[in-house]
Amino acid sequence: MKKITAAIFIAFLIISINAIAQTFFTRNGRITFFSKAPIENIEANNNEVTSILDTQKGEFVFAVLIKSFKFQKALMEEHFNENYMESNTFPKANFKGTITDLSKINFSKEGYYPVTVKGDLTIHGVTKTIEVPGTITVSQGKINAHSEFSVKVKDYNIKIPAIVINNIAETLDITVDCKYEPYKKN
Amino acid sequence: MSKISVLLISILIILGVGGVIGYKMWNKPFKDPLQGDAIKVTAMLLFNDFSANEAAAQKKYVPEKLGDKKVEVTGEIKDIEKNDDDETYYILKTTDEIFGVKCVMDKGHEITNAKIGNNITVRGFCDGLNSDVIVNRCKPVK
Repeated sequence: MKKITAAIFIAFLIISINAIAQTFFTRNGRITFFSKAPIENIEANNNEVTSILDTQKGEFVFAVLIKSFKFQKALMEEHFNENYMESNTFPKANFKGTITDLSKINFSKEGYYPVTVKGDLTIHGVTKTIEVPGTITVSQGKINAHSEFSVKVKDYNIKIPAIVINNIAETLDITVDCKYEPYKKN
Repeated sequence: MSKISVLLISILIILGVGGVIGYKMWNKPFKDPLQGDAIKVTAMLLFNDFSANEAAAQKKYVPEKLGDKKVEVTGEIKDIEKNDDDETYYILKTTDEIFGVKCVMDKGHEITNAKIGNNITVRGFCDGLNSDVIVNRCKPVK
């Protein structure tokens, strides 16, 4: 009886270890947005993006604090938070999606895989389903994810005052870069 | 002096003053975390406050307007890394096994010879909870 109990325990342990190995995490994901407008170009970086990738299900989850976007100028950062993104009311943006062509990827084999990810993007309290192209690179037990796509500010109910309409583009170019490592407890 | 000359000079003065004010506003610097008062807190307490009630902690620690609240965080370094912008950050230990307080240092203000296990105190601006509690644009308190 003791042997059976031990065998069940070991089997459960192996299953748990495998489940953990399928989960990858980063606390240093990077999201950049770029606005090209007639009067000025605006760029901001956020290096505090957290993301989890479940390689078995092909699920991505991203969480972003709006106040962690850093601008070149204080005034831009102030306007971005207070006037456009209303970051006191909507402090986070997030995305939860799935790789639509998961079967193309072998996470246990080094390589470069073009993918499509479909999911729900929430910005400024508004959720929209988006489908974006990206790439996944598997190298030395780590996974890098990259994606470039655009979002229309009006889709997320972000209002740009008429007086600065020429300063901010109606469509923002978003770049996502995440370097994942296996998720493990210290 | 004719009325037209007075009017032109007045317009030039107004434009000049407006231009200077506009230029200064456009180039206003980021607030220095070492200037003025700061909320003094341990990394443990800061993390526990956010874990217990995120909305209340946000009101307490996160600036409503850019730079209008600063935190002075003390804690033990659990990890030292650099991000893609080559900014050094320290993860300060909390009661959580994985997550902590992430203090992203202002470039050029890193702590010399900082090592895992050291106790440090930094001042910066709290962005909120994103798995870790994020404190940005940090400078060391000497």
